[in-house]
Amino acid sequence: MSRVEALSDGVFAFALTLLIVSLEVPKNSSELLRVIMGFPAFAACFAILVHLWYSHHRFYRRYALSDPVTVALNSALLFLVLFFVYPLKFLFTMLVGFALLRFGILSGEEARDYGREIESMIVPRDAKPLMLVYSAGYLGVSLVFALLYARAWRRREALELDARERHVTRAEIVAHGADGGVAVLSLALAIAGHVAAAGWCYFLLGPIRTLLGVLRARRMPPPEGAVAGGSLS
Amino acid sequence: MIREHLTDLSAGEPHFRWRGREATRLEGFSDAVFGFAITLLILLLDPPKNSRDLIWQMLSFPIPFAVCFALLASVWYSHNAFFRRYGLSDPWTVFLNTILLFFVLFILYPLKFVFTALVSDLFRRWGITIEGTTLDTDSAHQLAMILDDATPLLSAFGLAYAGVSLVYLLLYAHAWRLRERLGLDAAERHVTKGTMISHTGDCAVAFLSIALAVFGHVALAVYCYLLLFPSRRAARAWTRRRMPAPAPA
Repeated sequence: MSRVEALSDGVFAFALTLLIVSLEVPKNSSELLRVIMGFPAFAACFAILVHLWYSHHRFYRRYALSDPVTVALNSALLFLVLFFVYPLKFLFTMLVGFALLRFGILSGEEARDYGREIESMIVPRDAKPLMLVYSAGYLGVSLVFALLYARAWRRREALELDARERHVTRAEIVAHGADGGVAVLSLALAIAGHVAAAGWCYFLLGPIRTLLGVLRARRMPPPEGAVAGGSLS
Repeated sequence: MIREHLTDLSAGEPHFRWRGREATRLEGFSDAVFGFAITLLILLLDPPKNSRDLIWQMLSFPIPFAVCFALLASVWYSHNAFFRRYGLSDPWTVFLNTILLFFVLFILYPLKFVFTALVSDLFRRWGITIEGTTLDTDSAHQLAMILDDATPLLSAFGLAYAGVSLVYLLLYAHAWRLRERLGLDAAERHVTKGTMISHTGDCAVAFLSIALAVFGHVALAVYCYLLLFPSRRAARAWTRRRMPAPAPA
């Protein structure tokens, strides 16, 4: 494992811990209940960070690059991850809060207090600038990954990538580029004033990724040995 | 051709054979400190309670955060370069590394204050305000206090940065003393000297900034760090121009 990975793992680990550090230790049962209601938001942020870590991990296992350009791109990624820890926590606390209230999971005084707390989190006119910043962040992360894979692609000769590995590298550039495309769409919607649609458009990520995954599997070149055998028969 | 690139990839630098192939425990430990130091920059913020706070943080925080992040990343990059190049882990290296980590952690608080104050000052001058955020209330007051009395903060930051550069200088001097035993060739000795010049330049910039801060030129003391770019560039140019020709095989 290179030191770039060791440093990045440290940052990812602390970023995960930051999600919890920002909670206060509950002192009574109603505070504990509030902390438990915060868990879905914590889980969502945790899942996003672990997903990013896994993409990062896979990139470094595949190519083991540590040239200055890769280190610079990696720094940009860590910067974005850390910068968005608190904003993500904020976003999901709010979304989960609205969902809990909408589905009537709480009742009576609890619901009223909690509702007031969640309502006070956002001033309506802040929704658009916040949406723009979140989408810009997601665009940044997608671009960094696309550029990292583009870097590996440029060094494909030196890395001695075989046909399948080249295919996977190209597919990753396309996949991260598509993620960036969704972020651009969201930015455009938000600029046009459709803030809610700008948020919902992230649900496109699921079908797009599935489609790209299927295409990638279908177009995968056969293993080296099989190519020789196949062309002979 | 492919072989050449491969050795280039695994051995790192064109003029330097990496003697530290695997990261040692000393480096793993240092990386944990570097990682935590970078994360501490975020911990100096309060988690936002409402969208006004969040917007204020998103406007005011990225620039100071990016500057601090870049500075720590550059210190980390020098650390990696030193340990890759020489692969040293003797007691004197361990001792100097400990001093380095101390300065890295020490640098954080003044660093963040200085840059946050700088950005807030610029915002105030350009008339960027966001009503209903913490800027309007106590933090504006706090920032005004920091700006009024920036000399100790800037001096503390300057001392820590000079400390970091000085420790790198001592580490490279140590490698220089061991040049025979490490089997450094002519190009590697030259790169070692060039890196020492670069860290001396960093150190000089830090002391210049301290002097400016002590004599009351607060803004100049901050912008003086921009001199790091030409000074490092000059050291790199010197190293490249005087690079000895490779010994005939």
